[in-house]
Amino acid sequence: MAELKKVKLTSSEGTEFIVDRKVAEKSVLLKNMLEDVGESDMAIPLPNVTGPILNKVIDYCTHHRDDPFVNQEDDSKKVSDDIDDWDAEFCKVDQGTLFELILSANYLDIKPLLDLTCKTVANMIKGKTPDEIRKTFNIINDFTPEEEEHVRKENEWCEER
Amino acid sequence: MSKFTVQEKSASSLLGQDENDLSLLKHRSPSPFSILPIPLTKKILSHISYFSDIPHLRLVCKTWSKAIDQILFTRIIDNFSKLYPIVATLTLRCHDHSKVITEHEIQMELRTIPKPEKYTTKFMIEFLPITTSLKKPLIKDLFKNVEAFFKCYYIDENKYSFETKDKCYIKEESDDISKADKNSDKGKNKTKTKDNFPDIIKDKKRTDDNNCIGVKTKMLKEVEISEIIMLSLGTCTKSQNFSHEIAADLAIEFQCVSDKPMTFSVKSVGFRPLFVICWFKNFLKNDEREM
Repeated sequence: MAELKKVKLTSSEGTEFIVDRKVAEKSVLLKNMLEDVGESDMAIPLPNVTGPILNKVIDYCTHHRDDPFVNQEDDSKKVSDDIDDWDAEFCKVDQGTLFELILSANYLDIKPLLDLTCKTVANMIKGKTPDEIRKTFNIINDFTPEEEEHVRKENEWCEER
Repeated sequence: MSKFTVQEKSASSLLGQDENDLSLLKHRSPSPFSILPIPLTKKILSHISYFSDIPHLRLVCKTWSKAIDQILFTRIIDNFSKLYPIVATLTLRCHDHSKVITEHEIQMELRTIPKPEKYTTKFMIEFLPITTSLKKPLIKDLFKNVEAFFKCYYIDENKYSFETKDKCYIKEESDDISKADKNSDKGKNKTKTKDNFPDIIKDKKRTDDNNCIGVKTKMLKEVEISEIIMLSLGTCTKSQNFSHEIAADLAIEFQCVSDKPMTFSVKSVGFRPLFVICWFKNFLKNDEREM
């Protein structure tokens, strides 16, 4: 069996990670970089990703290394309740980590991970009142009372239907 | 497995906080959403596709309100392109108080259906400013919400629920618009070209009064506006034996009514909407039977 090619990745703090090229190529960013660079032992710096988050991302990519490549975004499949058990467990992290994963998945261009993390946050939003959502995510209500009333009025006809 | 420790904290645990505890509010950490660029916030919110969830999410904060409007706006374009492939360009012309005109030309994605010669692929909806109060926002800002609800209504319409619920409603409107059209000098003797939309307001007197254009105006909420637009678009794309020259040249002017949020008056209607409405109702019935 041929030896699997390895790739070195360096996190923002300089921590080095060695991963299978196939795992790294789950990231479109890394895939393109590796194709451009060709065979090289040079570590690829990822200044926007911290070590712990990169570690998490590698976990995800390793688990999903054999998944088919996801191509175009299909709005009709944008349902947030089709998360499998492993992915759901993977996303059981604190909010800070979850949002860092979103940023990293976006930066590294790993669409399935981005979808997963966004869906997870969407699930945390669903079914909550605006006030509950603000409390959950520490969002400040920046509407003036008049503006809020205005939005409510705009919503009224919609809610009546 | 991960090599670092994460602290699990369920969302519900945060909800247990006493909302009257000001010390908590003072010292709370910034929202995790604050680290996300707007497109990512939109991506998250776009996963909440349930019609019933969308309106109240606009109340969370201004950023969410804007993001949701943009999401819905994108969906309008997507759905229009799928269902009304003939419509290539929808021009939205918005006037502000200083007579500045902002045009939003929305390019629809034309599908492979060949464009019949007599169809125009351009439509325009014109919004005029609120003239009684300069404190009001530009109409283009309000329009964003119209766009949003336009879509929301469309989802409902897609289920054909308005057929039973609003049947009388439409008839009442169509009668009224028909009268308005008869009384309007704008609806008569129009040469039907794609550029034959109502002129940009040059006469100040016309902008100052909802009823000063010789048209018996009718207050319409955006849901009704949506009906008219949808009916018109539907007609142009689906009709088999229809005078394309008439339908294709849709031009409706709306004027916002002060102190009535999201309420507009029809300022002029450039062709006979009654015919269109009648036709489209038939179209919906036929379509429903086919499903």
